[in-house]
Amino acid sequence: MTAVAALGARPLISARADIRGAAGGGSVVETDDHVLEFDGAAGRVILQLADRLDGGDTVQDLAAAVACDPGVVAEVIKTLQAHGAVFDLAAVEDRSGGELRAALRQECAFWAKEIQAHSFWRTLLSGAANPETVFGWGIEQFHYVEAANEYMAAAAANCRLDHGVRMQIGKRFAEESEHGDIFLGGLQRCGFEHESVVNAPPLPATSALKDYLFELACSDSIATEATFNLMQSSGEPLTRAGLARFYGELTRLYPFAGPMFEAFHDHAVIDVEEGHERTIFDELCDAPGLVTPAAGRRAIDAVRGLAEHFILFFDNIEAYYGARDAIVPRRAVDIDAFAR
Amino acid sequence: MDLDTRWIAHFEAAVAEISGGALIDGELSSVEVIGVPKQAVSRVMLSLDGGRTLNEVAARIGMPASVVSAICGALSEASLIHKAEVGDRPVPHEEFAELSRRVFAAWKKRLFSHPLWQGLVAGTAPPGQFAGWLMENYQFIEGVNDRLGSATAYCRSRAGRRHFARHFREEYDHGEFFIQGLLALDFSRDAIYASRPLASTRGIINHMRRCARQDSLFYAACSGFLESTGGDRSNARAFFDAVTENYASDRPAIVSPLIAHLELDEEYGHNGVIESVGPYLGPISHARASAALQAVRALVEGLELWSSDIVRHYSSDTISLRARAYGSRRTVVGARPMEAAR
Repeated sequence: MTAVAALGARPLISARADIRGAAGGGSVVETDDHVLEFDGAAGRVILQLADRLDGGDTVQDLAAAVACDPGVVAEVIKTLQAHGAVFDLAAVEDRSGGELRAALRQECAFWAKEIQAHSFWRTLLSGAANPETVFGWGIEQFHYVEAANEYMAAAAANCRLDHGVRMQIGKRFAEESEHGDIFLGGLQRCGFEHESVVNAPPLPATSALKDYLFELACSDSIATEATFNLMQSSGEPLTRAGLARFYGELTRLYPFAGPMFEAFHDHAVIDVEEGHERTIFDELCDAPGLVTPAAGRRAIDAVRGLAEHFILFFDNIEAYYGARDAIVPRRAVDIDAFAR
Repeated sequence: MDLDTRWIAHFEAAVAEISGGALIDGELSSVEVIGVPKQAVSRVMLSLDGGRTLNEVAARIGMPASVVSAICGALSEASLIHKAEVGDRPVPHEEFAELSRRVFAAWKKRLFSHPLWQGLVAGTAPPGQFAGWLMENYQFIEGVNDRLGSATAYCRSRAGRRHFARHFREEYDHGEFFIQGLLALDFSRDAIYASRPLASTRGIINHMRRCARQDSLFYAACSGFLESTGGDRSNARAFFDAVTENYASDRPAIVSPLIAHLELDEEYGHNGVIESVGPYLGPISHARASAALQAVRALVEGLELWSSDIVRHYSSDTISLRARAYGSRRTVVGARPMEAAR
């Protein structure tokens, strides 16, 4: 990326990036992978821009806002981008077809990392999560997977694209429709009764996630398919060995939830075996004239909206199950509870 | 207690560990159980689902029936459990409306004790948070087209549909009141139109759309929770007085459209939806009434999440719109300091 091209970039700083001042007016940007030190004008510019890198302004706008040489801002953004601390939202927009497919794949990888960097995962992987959080996550995950019977069904019902695409969407739903049972089985083996899990009211953010996908599936097939690119993006390729290590570690940390993690593992292995290297959206992008820049814009908005919903999903699990002495599974209202 | 009776634990009861036992906490009462560990007490509470007798609960969790009986006796005294009804008895509309009003009052109290609302009243919420609250309110009110349009379209009763349609005619353009407030904050109309709601704002709109699809009574109950009645109106006026003083003392035009909106709703009589439309929505059974209140409870939880989301996303002293901004970063800024907007 050249400095000139970067003037139109709309940088979004990663939630993983920690920006702080350093001695002598410089600044430090630290992510999980890198520690970047800036001095001189660049160091000052980063501190001025820290709270403005929300993807809403171009480099040109940002330079004007902090009264700085646009070239300096462009160079700083270019460096942050090269180290994964910043993503340029403009790079994905106003594209169509194959260009959009490639750009969206990069953006999905960025969002997948943002979601994986949520503090929920840090707490879980440190072994410090309480049992309510561990099982609460399992139950909310069940609700989400079970919701395939709403949003994937709606995607099949509302698709007005050609026969071949409808068959692919239908096949995906047919394959996924009973996956909720895998999670339910794992929870049952941990001692939870079938009905208590099925009837547990989802947290509001889980409902918001399910409803978001459902509403999208009713209104925009292309945008809906784009969201699967995020759902199937893991940042790094999933392998059987990697999944075994991950869930093995969770079982070691939380042995009481072993059967649930076994179910999570089994479900993830199915996804790996089905192979989602190439999605339906990728194929739509190859259809001449179908994914126009306008359709691409809706697809990008849908993916970004989904990323926000996933982050809210983990926020809510962490806050609700982590901070309360909640009874798990949650209970639905019975009006007799209000009898005088 | 009669060990052959079936009981249901209160849906909001929580079990906490205390020295030597456990504390079972409800919204209005609590019970301490000494000598029984928290995990065992949690298992008792989980087992009280209306499907088992106390004898069966005791056998299931391996606890002496006398201990289960003693715990449940105390829980019953504190209204933390209630006896399970046999069958799905009918609930008269008047009883459902009265119950709703009573429950809603408690749930509103809980919602408005959230730090967002307390901070706005006290003036301790940063100016950016006030602007964010106004913005997300605009998004929600504008969403009446999503919500009430669905409620009308999906209602199976002609009389009910006409009620929702009339409500729609009176409400569909009320987003303009909030636009006027935002214009007074110096945002342009184009920027307001281009802004995007928070995921939690979209969540509560979509929740109400789901209710509209599932059962018109669910929607009517949620709508009943949102409307202002009796004491709510004076509370709402006191709230607007406080935010005017705290955030718009030199420019009352920011808040005056919201007060005009409140007054118009009063004029239209948008304060008795359950009583007025309920009778057109078919017989109410115990299960349907419980499901309708569960839909409202989910709305309340959604509104609490929404309040927290506003606090997190608009936590700065500057005001901004989420026009093209994305992400999870908790500080979304970019427009200008509040002082400059004045």
